[in-house]
Amino acid sequence: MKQSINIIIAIGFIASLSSCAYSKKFTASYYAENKDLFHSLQERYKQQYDKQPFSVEIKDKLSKEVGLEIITDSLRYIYGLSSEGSALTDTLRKYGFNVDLTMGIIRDMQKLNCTWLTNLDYYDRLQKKYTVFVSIRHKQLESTFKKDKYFTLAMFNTPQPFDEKGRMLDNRDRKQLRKLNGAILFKLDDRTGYALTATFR
Amino acid sequence: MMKVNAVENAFHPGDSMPTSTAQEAIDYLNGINTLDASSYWPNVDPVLFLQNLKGFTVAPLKFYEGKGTNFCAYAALTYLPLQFDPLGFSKFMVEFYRNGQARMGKVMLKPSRAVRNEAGLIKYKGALDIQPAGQMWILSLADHFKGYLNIFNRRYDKGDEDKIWASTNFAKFNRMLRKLFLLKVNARGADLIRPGVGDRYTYLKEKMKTGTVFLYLNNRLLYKKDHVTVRLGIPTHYVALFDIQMTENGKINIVYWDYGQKTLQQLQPKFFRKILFGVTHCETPVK
Repeated sequence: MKQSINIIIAIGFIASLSSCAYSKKFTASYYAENKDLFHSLQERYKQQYDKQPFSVEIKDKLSKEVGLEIITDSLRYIYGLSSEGSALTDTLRKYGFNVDLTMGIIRDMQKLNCTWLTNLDYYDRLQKKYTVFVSIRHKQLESTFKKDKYFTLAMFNTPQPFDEKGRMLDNRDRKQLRKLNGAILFKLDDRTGYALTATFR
Repeated sequence: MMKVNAVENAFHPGDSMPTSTAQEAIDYLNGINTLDASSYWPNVDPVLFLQNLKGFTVAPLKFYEGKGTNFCAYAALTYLPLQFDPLGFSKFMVEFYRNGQARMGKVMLKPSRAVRNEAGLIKYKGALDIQPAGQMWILSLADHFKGYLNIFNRRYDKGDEDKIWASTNFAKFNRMLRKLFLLKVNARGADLIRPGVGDRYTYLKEKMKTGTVFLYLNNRLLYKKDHVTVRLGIPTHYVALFDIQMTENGKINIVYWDYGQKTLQQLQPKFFRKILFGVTHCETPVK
């Protein structure tokens, strides 16, 4: 009995180690394969965001349900809409969105397995700044042994400092690791960091 | 609504919460020409501190609990002093900064050294990073008030803002309201039992006519952050309710305040019933 328990623990441990290694490989290759599309998404999102701040959530694996957060001066509106039919486009039109541009963003999110797209605020030397933040929900990241199931990407407007281990540093205090949404970011390129996280936002 | 006579500000013990205007608070803060750095709060810059207090006065709804923290209860209740007595809150905070301790309502807030040293240093939490006064206030509340959830982590260590040290059960939330603001507080519901108030919409609509209403919600369902299919049916989040409406197709629109903004979300009545665990009604003063 004791031997069986030890074997189960050992298998679990090995499985968790191998899944961690696989996740790191996945993040680098997935970003490399889709880099152009990610950065095109970033640019188009910023273009629309500057006119009307918003965030998008793809709620289900079939991409049929879309969550839309529209941020006005006085209120944040949270909608849950079907991507089929006219409810989504009608809502976008009502708030003065460029419908073609925004629907293109949503379609590309679906292609990239993105579950969440937002402009995340952070503070650097007391100044408010933003980074485009994307969460990817991919079947290759799903495992019983891991709690981190999302590949989150932060795409910054300017180059960021990283240490020799590829961890993003605080701009002001280069000895301190910068956290975003509670996670340490690892380097993909000089303006892009990633983390594997348990939550998508 | 309860009528309140104007009394001395700064929440000294009395019968009820005093009231003041934002302009009175701004005049008071502008009257402080210089504020010396406080040895009690070594990491809170006095200039930033005053700027922060003025910011709360001008835009009280920008008060922010910080991303990923367990500070939602403290932020929710801060709506009351910022909305109804910004002068009293400002005076309290200035005294608190200068002396490292101050009285609000029936409570003498005298935070531990660990908390005083940490205020001003919390980072990577969004707008809370640039709110040293907010950090002082919230950390001190979490340090002072304890409930059963805090039994195993009572002393602050760095990073505890995200942990059970900062969490608030429903009884503690209501106790804080009563002790800090001297309000008549009526609470329905519990940490694991939903409130027996019949039709939620009608009850809340009625309660909102006579004061401020706070909701204790299961935020893992209201604002999902993962795709876990089996979730514990427990409340995790406090919000101030600003409005509630029934739509023509029988859905419920709620407008609530948290994370420094007002949010409008449409919910099915059955879902609303499922996520609502506590309702706190405070007889707030007439402005």
